[in-house]
Amino acid sequence: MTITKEIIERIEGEATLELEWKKDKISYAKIKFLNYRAIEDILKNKYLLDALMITPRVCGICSHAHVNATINAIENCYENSGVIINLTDKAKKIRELVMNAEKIQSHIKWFYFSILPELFKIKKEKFVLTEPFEDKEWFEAQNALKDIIKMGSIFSGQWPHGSYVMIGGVTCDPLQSDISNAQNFLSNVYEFCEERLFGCSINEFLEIDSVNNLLDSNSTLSIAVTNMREMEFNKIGKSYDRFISFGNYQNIDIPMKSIKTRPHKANIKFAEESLENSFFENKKSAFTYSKSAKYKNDFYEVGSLARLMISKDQLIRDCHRRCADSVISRIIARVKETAILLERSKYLLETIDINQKSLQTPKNIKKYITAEGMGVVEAARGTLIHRVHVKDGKIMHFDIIPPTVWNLGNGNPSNPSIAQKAIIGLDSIEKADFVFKSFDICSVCTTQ
Amino acid sequence: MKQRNLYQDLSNRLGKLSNLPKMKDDGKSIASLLEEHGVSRRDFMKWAASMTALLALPASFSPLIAKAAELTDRLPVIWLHMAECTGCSESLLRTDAPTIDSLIFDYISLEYHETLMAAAGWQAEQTLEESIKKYKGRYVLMVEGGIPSGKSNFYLTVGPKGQTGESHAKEAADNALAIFAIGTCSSFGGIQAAAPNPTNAQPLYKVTKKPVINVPGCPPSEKNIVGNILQYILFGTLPALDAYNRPKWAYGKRIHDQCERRAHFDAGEFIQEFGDEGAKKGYCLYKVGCKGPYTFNNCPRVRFNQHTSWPVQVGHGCIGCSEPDFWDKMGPFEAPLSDRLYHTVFGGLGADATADKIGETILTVTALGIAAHAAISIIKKPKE
Repeated sequence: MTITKEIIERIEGEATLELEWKKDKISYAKIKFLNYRAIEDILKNKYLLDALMITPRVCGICSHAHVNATINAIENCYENSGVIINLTDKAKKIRELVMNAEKIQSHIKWFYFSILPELFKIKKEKFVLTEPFEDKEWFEAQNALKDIIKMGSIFSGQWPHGSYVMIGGVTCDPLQSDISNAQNFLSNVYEFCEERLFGCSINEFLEIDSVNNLLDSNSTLSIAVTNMREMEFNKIGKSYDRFISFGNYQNIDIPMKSIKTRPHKANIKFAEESLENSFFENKKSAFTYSKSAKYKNDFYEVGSLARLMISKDQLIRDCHRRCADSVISRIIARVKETAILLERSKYLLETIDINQKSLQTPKNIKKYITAEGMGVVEAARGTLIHRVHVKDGKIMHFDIIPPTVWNLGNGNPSNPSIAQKAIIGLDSIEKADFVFKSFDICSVCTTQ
Repeated sequence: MKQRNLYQDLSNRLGKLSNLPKMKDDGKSIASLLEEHGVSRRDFMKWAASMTALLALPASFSPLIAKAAELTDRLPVIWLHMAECTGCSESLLRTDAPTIDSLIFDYISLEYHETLMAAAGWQAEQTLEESIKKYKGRYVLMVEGGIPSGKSNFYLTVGPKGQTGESHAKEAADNALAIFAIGTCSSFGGIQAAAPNPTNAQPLYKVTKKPVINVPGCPPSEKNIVGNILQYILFGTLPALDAYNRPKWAYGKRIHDQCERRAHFDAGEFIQEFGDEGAKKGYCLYKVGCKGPYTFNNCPRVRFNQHTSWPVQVGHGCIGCSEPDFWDKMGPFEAPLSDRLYHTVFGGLGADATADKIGETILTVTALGIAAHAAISIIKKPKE
């Protein structure tokens, strides 16, 4: 048996894959994250509302997901102590819109700057023109990112790390001109996605219900999928075929899991973090700062694929029938979700009633409460959970379960984690790197 | 007269620089790169004019800034990540690209940037080592993130050799020509250094003996990052710095003094709590915790995401993110600092106790004045 170590770059932070080989195949993989900042410890003894400033700093690429999870947790604390929190429709829409901007940004960024370059490397051929600082499409993708972020920051003030949410709503009070500006930015992103990524109008793209129809167009997505099929990528990256999502997503507002194609209700109280393999357990065999999240002791995949499997998306169902939970499904799911989020954002901007109140401070609100609360959101990479225990207005305990610990934790050889299971059995380092990146790695969220 | 001499000096310096070889020899100049991507000469000159103003130079210096921007490819730059969230890179490189700022930044030989680099793993490590050797004493180092230091240095290891972040940063700093700490984390320690600083995260200046220019902010705006490079090319020296080694052209004034809501402060019009009528009217945010009066930065002028917005514009106070140890000194963030003026180690003054522009006495008066002003306005009837 040989062991190789691979440093994974071009992600948020740095990760190491330690691969064990038997007869030219990967027999086991250890996923190491060797950076740690102890944000959960820093949150202790801070004022409850200060968490709204601190948690976004966990991650520079999903800071709005963190701030939203935190405000949900704080509002939940108040609700649990008898205060009624009433968000206006406007406040809810603005919160969702800003999160959407961040997710769309993350999806496009991942597809163009993480997935495509890796595919070129493995295929040794540049099948679409997206070379950094060379090709037009690369610059257009950058422009689309810039515009979607600007759409969000009209409401959030800045990205990353905006502070725009507060108990009872949002702090911003947009004018009609702000809404128009946001619509303008959004339409630029529509244009890019329709012309390049989807190869048809968003409405047409959303109606596509089979992979074969998807491949009819000459879009960047279909070229990438065609190439991946040629490389037989429908066979790599498969994991347990178990999915879970705890946050609100489109028509689903209760926690759901899906084992293969059968969705069931789930209960968030069974979601727990395990310290196995981490330095926190204080064992000699420990090798990483990342924890791993499990549901009733089983690993479940989170993210776009999970959400779309649970919401029974036709295209993704068809894709799953053909390629199960392989890298191809994961990639198509994220692009499909980009279209869904764009369409949803358009709807939100059209229906925001600027005459409503942005924020309604709840009555009888006490500054220094003692309570427990939990906030859940669906971030770009999957379910993000914040749990807080506050005593006399100060944080006693804060627990952050980011999406990446669901996908990228470490199990053991008899019960490997989602990403480990997907990597075991592969025959090359490039493929392992690619499968690993198909989960979209963020080491800073994973370890905090 | 003095101005003309400066102009002449800078022209001479740029003339000398332009004789140096380019970092990349692919026949492309920044001018042609910009043109290729739809940035006209006119846009470029407009951008140069705004950078000139930002750097507090007379408007007639715009052509020099434009020239300096075109010469940025004579400067090798190495960017390192320490314990951080990548937010600073996001702020500059990928979100706002391809603005002129980021195009230039990318074009200048960014010899080593972990998030962006095409090389990976062993190859990347080699690139870094080679760059440090090849450009020894000639490259500009930019570091993002706090650095777990001393006995806690194991909280961050990087690269295939498992080097600690601390030794990485030290080595790169020792051989650098100029060093910039990008973001509050590498300038002052940042979020990971907040009490109780579990990983003993330290700012860059504590791990190297060489002078470090701090460009704090969480995140700093792209203009403040690029402005520093331009300044360096123009003058070839470190910029004028304040007591915290921040360039005065960017961090010389208080947020409060440049704020778009300042008139409301002067008129005694405050938001009393989030969501009230004052919030709708865009009143001053001081009483709901704005730290603008204690924070030195140019956010109101340059804003974020290509001048789209900034926190105060969307109705949330400044949190003081470009001040040293603001996590510990400025909290609670949703309450005015004056509420606890005399209860903290720094006599409540926090960051501006040592801000060099204003004497300590005057500042105390200012801080008290602000607190008193806010207090009086409670008694004052709100305007109908």
